[in-house]
Amino acid sequence: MNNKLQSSSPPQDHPIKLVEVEKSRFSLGHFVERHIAYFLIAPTILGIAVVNVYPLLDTVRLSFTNRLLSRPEDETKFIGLQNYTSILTDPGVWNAFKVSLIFTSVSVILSFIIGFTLALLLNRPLPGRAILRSIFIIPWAVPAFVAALTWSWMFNDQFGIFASLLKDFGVTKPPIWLGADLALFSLTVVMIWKSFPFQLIVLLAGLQAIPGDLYEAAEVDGAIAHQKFRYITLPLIKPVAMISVLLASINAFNFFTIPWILTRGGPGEATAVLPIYTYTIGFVGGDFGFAATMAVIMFIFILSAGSIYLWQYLKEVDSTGSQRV
Amino acid sequence: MATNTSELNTRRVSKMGRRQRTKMWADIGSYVIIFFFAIIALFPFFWMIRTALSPTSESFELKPKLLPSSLTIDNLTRVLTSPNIPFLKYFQNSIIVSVSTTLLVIVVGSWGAYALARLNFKGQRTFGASLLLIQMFPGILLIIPLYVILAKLGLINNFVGLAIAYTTLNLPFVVWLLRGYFLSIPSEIEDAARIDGCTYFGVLWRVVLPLAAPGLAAVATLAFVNSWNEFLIAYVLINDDSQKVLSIGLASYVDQFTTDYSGLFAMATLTTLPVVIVFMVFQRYLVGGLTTGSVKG
Repeated sequence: MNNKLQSSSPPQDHPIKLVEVEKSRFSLGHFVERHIAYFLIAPTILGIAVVNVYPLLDTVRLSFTNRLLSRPEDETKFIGLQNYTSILTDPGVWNAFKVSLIFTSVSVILSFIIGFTLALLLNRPLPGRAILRSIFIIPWAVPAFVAALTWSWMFNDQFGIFASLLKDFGVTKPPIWLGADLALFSLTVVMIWKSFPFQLIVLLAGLQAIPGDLYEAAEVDGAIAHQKFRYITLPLIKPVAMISVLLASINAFNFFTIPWILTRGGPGEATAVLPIYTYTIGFVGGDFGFAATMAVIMFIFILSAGSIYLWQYLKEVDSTGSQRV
Repeated sequence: MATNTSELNTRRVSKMGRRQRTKMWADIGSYVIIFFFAIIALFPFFWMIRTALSPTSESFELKPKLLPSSLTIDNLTRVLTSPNIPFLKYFQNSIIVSVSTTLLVIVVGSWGAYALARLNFKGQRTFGASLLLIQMFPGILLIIPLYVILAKLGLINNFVGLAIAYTTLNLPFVVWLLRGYFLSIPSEIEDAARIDGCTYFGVLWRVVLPLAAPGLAAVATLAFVNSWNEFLIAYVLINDDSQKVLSIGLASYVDQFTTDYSGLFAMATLTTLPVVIVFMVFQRYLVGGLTTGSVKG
């Protein structure tokens, strides 16, 4: 790391000493300067400790108790692994896992394909591409709860625009978009719409970071378009693409707002993704202990999947030697 | 550009006609695909505004048309002036929460990022790695203990608690992106300032932050939009009408507004416009900031 350069310079021939000699060695300013790094990271550490680490540990503790929303802390008992064993036998949990995996993988894969295609097209010197880029950012900027409200209004089977347009094309019985058969499909469509701009922007940023002289050199060597794509674009964009997919997957797997407003997990449990199922158990059913257990399982799952992925990523990056995190 | 090189190549000049035609067809193809997805990207946004600006009587048509018969701002003025809808109160709360979150994130985040990018300290790697790890935390994992602890402290139903939570939730990615940005700035200028007797805070404030302005604009945009758009934490922590922010304020009107979709979407439009405008204005920093911040990182 290049920061070594700066602090490894020997202090005795550092001109700053001339100024500091006049100050007391034990003055507050001197103390702050000496331990500056810890002062700078202290607020971040404090915030993370209160808002991330403490809740994480407390959720783990709650997962071993029978805590209810309505039951005070002092009447709560330690019940060992009981919550964990009941998860194994709860069909709702298995359904939620299945729904979550379908929702996450389909929305991430399709939003990646759309985002990458558009990033490649917008990376060409097309007139008007700045305006087009702004248009594609809109779904990202629109608040998720507004997006969900708008889509549910468009999906409305009586007054919705989709039903109306289908009638124009002669479809007499338009599908019920948020009914049991199609709800997961419709939810996934909304998620793809909401999340492709993020992938587009990250991938476009990655494409623009590829040095243009690589392509020029390849052209001098007589490379044709698809060779340049195969041997320059793909290997250089791969690390960026992997990070983009990882972030999008974490986001989709943990996403609450759109499924909650669009379907509340229904009809039945057709769209009960894990965050919705966990929320319902905790704050509608009032079983904090069981909900905490669900949250812990989710976290372990995402952590192990994420770590395997990151490990693959680091291996990939090391082997190509192109970019370091 | 790449084409200039081949233009100089005399052997290929005869092929230029064909090349140009190919390029033209490629451009047309690109535009067709781009416009197709641009319509999809814009349509819900358009439909929201269309519902907000069309007369109330038209929102429950059995066959809605793409364009309304007439445009009106009645719905907008109705939700802004109605004594029954505290829309302006929600709006004000959202502004306070999002702006204070953004400022806090910038200040605290740039400190952390500077330490990570430029200084050596024990636990540096652990600090950096834990920032990445924390971004994997499911919101649902944090919400139950946050609810319990804030209830104990009497901070449920208080948007100050919300601003603190949002600041912390934004910090990991902000520190990480800014770290990458700071690394892209040559450190010689900072060394010179140090040699002239500047403190670390002085270097950060007078040298690094001005140079990192595009990166700061990018993270500020993201932090603002994230806090403006957050739903789950606000939904769980806040019930009191006077403390509600727009996200949950609007959600609480969904059931009430089953008869007034034009009013609901008038509020949705007014909620969405500020973030869309912020995104539009700062989007070039967003692309640039992400390039230097995450890709180079």
